[in-house]
Amino acid sequence: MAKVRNWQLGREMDYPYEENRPGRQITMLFDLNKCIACQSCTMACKTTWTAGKGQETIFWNNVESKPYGFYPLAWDVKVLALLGEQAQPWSGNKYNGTTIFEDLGMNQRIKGYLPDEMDYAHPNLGEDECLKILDGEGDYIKGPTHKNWGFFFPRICNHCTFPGCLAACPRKAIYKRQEDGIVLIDASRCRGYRECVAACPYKKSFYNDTTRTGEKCISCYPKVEAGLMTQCVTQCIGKIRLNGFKSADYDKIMSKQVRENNPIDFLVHVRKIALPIYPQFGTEPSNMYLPPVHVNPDFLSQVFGPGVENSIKQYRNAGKDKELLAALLLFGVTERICDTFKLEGNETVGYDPQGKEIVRVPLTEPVYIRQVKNLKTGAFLTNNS
Amino acid sequence: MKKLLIAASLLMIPVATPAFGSDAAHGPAKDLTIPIIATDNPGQYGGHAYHGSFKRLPPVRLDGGETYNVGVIKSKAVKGEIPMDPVNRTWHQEDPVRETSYNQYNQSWEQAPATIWNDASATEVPMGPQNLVMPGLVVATVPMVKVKSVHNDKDIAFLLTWYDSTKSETETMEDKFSDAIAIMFPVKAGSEPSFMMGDDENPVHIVYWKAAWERDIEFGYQDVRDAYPNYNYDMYPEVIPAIGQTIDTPIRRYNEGQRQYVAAFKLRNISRVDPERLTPVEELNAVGFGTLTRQATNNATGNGVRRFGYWSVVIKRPLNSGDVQDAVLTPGSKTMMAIAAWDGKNKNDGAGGNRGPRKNYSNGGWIPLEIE
Ligand code: SF4
Ligand code: SF4
Repeated sequence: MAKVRNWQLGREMDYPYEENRPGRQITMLFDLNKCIACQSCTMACKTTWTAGKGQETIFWNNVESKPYGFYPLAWDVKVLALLGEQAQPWSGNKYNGTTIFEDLGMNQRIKGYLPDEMDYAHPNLGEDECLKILDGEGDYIKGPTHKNWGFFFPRICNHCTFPGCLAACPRKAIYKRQEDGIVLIDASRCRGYRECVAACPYKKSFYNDTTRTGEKCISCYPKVEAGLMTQCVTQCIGKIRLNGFKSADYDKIMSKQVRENNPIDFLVHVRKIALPIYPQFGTEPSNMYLPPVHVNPDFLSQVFGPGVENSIKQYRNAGKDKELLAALLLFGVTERICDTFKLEGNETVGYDPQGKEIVRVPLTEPVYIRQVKNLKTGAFLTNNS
Repeated sequence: MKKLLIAASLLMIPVATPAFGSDAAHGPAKDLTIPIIATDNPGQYGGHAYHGSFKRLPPVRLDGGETYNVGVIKSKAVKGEIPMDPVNRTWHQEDPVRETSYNQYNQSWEQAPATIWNDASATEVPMGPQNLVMPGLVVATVPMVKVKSVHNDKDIAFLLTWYDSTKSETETMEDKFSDAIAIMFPVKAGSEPSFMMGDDENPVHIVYWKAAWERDIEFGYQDVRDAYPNYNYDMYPEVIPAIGQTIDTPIRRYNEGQRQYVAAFKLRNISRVDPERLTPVEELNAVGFGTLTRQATNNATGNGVRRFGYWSVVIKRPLNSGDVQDAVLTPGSKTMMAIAAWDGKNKNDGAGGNRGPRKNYSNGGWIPLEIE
């Protein structure tokens, strides 16, 4: 085991390979306050990549209803249990518990579990249980009840800096690309051991029943190579997602030498409003979330780590914080990846790597007041006559 | 018909069967097909006593075998073709109550005609859990493999027999793994590669048999419909209804364009997806852990059958295939071999059954092989 530096944990940790960070890291940001669980992203991905034979229950992108929705069933609860359910202590920004790579049993390489095949068939069993109307007889989940809150949680592969899937593969058939940090399975070398399925704590590596090989999210690399955002981002109706490249150099991240004019670096490293998903797993996931402001903060802290309070405070103030608003308004406005952005008066502008303007969005949408009646023709223009 | 009657009448005898007899009044259930594995008791198998394996005789004479070698595998010279049958196929009707087998004339196994394996001497190879690289096993899941070998002037064949209480022969479900066995030789004659799948200077040659491939050959390439007979799916985008294709069209009928939807198939990863499979074995080379690579040409053949909880697998390969990647085995010489075995059902830590490095290997690594 090598020692690697994980900025999300604020400490070094064990990992089977030496630290090897990509030049830049493809990243997806999700604003969880806006997701409406329409599953457009799920279908965009499914129809593009996983509609073939053997991929029936594979969803590289899924949206689950938290706290009781899961895909596959109970995935995060089970991984948390492997780490010691209540024993994931943070002191400040430092994680004092164990990751999936630490404190291993005698025959283990990584702490993981292989989901039952049925766990994929009933992914959201019990997801509506946060609604009080379902309490009592007939509930699938018998456990502590909580006040009514819930949120929709879209998830894809996190193209981790220290991927559990990659570390687990005895064939070394999984690799992380230096140019953009995308994690890929070599389908011609895979021997179907499903070690990646068992090891990925996010359960984002899958098994194809027809080809008997592992398959996982490819971050739409043909699009990303062309400077475009992935299918799930561009098809998102709620405009909750943003694709881009984030600084990956550890020393630069720690000394705040990141690119303030890059929308991803700005939201992740400068403002720290976008937070990693289950950082305590130890894989340093690249995808980042803006936590939903109305959800129980204890639950959010378990999922997104110690930055939740700061994130929510900023989000609630975004209306007054023009710089933050400028970055947040880039979500869902263009298919092209913005290299930099700038606040220009009352507009936010996104630029490509050559500095050419890609998109321009007003911070406040202009308001038009439509007349009730077309005075010339007498036709009603609204229905509240 | 006669067989059925016998079986039915025997079932009338009030023995505690697994289906009925588990409550206190009947005593514990007696599982009639599973020999008792006792790691702490001396065992008896084929008249040979040892520690750490099965307590009882195997309930059927699989291949004769009264002579045992210790610490060496001896390959017997035979005349003529070596048949691929591990056990006598006409003697395979099972009677779980009497724990014996008989043929259609109700003759018991004592009357079974001898196979080519009957007079070959056997070697019982104790197996240990692979725990040198992680992930591994804590305890052996296949504690013992019995090996016999014969050769003529062209081919050499190995009969591998081991006990496995569960038959695992599907890989068409996310959480199912196949039973398997592999034999390994140094590629270069006289070299001594690391028994851990060879090393940089000394490659090894591996022949690998898998139960799932045996099933593919017997019933056709196993696909989602075989694993989930009641499944339905609206339509796969690669299917062309205009030429009569449906969701059940086997993928071997897919043209190159359609195969793009079945990525590993398009990439010809035939270790995993081979709808045209002809043999349940594949040949591989390795120069250490993580380097296992399938050979382009397959010269080996195999055949496995299961009787009373025992897998019996014949692996046959040319003594000298002419393939530079293959080990050359010469009659009258001494070399060595190693064995690895997988119990597909056995879950060791919640991370799934035996596969890859979660395997058993011949204790001590290499075993001397004397070719008569
Ligand atoms: S999320 Fe899972 S599949 Fe994706 S890179 Fe991380 S460990 Fe691998
Ligand atoms: S498309 Fe966007 S809004 Fe719809 S479910 Fe996916 S992430 Fe949520």
